[in-house]
Amino acid sequence: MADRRQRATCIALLACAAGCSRAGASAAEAPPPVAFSHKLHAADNEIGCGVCHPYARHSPNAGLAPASTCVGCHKFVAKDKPDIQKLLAEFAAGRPLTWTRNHRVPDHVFFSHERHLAKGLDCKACHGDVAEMQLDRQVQPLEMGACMDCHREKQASTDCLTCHK
Amino acid sequence: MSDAGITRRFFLKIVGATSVAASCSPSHAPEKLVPLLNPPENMVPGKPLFYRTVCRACDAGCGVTARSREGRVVKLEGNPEDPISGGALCARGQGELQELYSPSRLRGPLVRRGATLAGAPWSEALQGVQDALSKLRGPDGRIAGLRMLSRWEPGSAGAVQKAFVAALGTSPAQRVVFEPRDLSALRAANAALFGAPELPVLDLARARAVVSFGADFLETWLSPVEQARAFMATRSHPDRPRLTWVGPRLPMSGANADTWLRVRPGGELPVAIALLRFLLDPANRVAQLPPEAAAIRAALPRLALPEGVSSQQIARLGRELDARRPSALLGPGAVSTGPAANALAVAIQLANHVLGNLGRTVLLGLGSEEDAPSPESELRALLDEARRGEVKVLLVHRRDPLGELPASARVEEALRRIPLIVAFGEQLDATARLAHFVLPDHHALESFGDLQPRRGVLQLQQPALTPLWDTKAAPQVLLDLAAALALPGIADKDFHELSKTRWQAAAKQLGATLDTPQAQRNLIARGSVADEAALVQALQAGTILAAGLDVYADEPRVPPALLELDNAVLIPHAGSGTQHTRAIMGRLLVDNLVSWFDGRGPVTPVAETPWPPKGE
Repeated sequence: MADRRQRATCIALLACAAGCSRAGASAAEAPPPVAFSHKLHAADNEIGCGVCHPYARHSPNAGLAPASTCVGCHKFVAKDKPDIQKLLAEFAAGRPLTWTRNHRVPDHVFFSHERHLAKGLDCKACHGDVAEMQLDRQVQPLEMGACMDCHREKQASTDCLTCHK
Repeated sequence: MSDAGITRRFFLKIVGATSVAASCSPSHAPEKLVPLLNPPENMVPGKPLFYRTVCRACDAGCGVTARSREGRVVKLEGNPEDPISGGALCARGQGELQELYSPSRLRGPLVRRGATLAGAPWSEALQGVQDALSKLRGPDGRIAGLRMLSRWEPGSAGAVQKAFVAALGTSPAQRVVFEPRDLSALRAANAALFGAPELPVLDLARARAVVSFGADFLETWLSPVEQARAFMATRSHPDRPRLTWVGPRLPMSGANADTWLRVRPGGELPVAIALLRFLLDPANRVAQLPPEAAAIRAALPRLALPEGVSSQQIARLGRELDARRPSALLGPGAVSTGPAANALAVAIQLANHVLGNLGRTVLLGLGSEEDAPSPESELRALLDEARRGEVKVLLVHRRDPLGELPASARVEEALRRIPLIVAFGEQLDATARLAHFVLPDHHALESFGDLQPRRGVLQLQQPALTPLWDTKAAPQVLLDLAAALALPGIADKDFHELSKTRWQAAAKQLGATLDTPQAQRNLIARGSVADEAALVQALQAGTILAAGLDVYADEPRVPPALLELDNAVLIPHAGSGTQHTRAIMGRLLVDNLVSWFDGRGPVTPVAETPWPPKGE
């Protein structure tokens, strides 16, 4: 009797543990909606970061390229490729492509792109050399230790309230 | 331990296994990012936008600032420049967002099909209303049995309703304004005493003593935000105003009182009469009594003081009011409505008159000229007519008589006899459930409009977000119906245009200038940015009120037509000559030089700068 109960408890707890951690595949496994290459855009064609991420300089959020920005070029460029045709078809149907997020700081961190760029920090410092990546990925840990190292080195504020409101 | 069925060893095993299971699962799930399709021009994700508009949660008409993030309003606060709210907002106003995002809001028009209401496109609903109205029109094109029941609409929306009823009905009295929260007793008292059925505006900042007969003036009564601000402004002074609360219970305003005269419900009237008697009694030598004091005293009824209040307390209050002038007597509040409420309101206003408060702290003559709640008798007449089957069409605008009136009013019986009910509103309330057409209205934060809550104050209402659902502004629907039915006398097609014309006219009356879309133009960019000839024309015609110009298209030749204008200020391309700008220019020069000699190139290169170096 006790044995059976122990086994049931065991199964229930393991199920709980698995359920508590977030379900789903990891970021690396989720395919992007189209084969977008940062290398092709930022390195080969020398398109600046701010062209597609225009809000980074003016807002805490870097923001994603609005679908109309992609279409702005691609209504002329590379229209023969199937991925571009997919982009144009989705845009015409009023649906923006959905991207996978791979840079994320926790909710209790109030990170502002605007302040870091205003201070002259290069995008590469946190995002790595995106221009050399076919598929964008996270290269810096983006954990508190890394933030603190940089803040100390650049003599930026290390007060708790700077990042945690 | 083993009695509970779990041994220590088993417990440790489980802890180990669950932590392994938790760490094996993926560290983070993929998050999806959905970009905008076409970004609105003035929107930066992550940065709020602020819209000045007006709160419609009650009749006070506070100006508010709506904070919007990514196209959604997330917070309302008072507009600091507003004469009524002065930068504050009450709980009810803050709660407007709950109304806006309420899951029970109507998401599209509903049309009655037999016993049920079913969703329908706007075209079908409007066609249905139009056909039903056409059938009821008499040979003169009017409907004798048309009635409209609306909330108080002191602005363009009310004007459209009045025009619609005047054009389709047979009498303006067919529109009834029903405000269940209206302070009708105070209105009636002012009508009886001063000939104007309106509510006062209070200037509590000047009052040195306040007596409230159950009026929760800091929370909900009359214009709570304005009153709370004025009252609290002087409350911290050493000679702060004294507050006396007369009532059966202590709401927020009562809890702030210095003295509580505790009476049972209905006991406020004897207290007010006793206070008036004390003030008017020559033996008490109250100063500056009006000449009609004796006549008023003779007309006062004799009422026994309620249990718990002594004549000494009344005398103390009377002496305080005599000494501390001006004072303000407020009431009756919602807790003291009832058969005696009208008498109480008269007694309160008489006391204000006797103490010389009228025109000092209690201001009359500021009621809105636009619209006024109808007396209760009109609502009762409407329901009686409906029960007799005389009402053929009822248009209900943002009111729910079935939900808001007691069962004794027999509203359901009345509504069920009306062959056509069209309900405008945000929710499917009890009245709308009996309607034949339910036409969902925008929320106040989604629509244009204007409001004259009192004389001299004109509030403009503008949308702070695009409508969340398939709704349509109720006055626009009336205009569309008027056009479809070819109603005489209604030429306007667009409610926003109508509202703009009306508020420009009203602003002119107030002496304000709002009459140009682009009031003035300052030109400090390159001269070719503006079409100079068109600018001269616009300035001559007055389309642009005034201009300040620093640069010209063909310098140094300035068009003589510009020089002749009285409404243009011209300077000879010297606009950067301010200390502030020159300091920034100096700093930028240094930044450029430092960057150049560090080998990083100039900060602000121009076309001619040899950077990046060519041929390397």
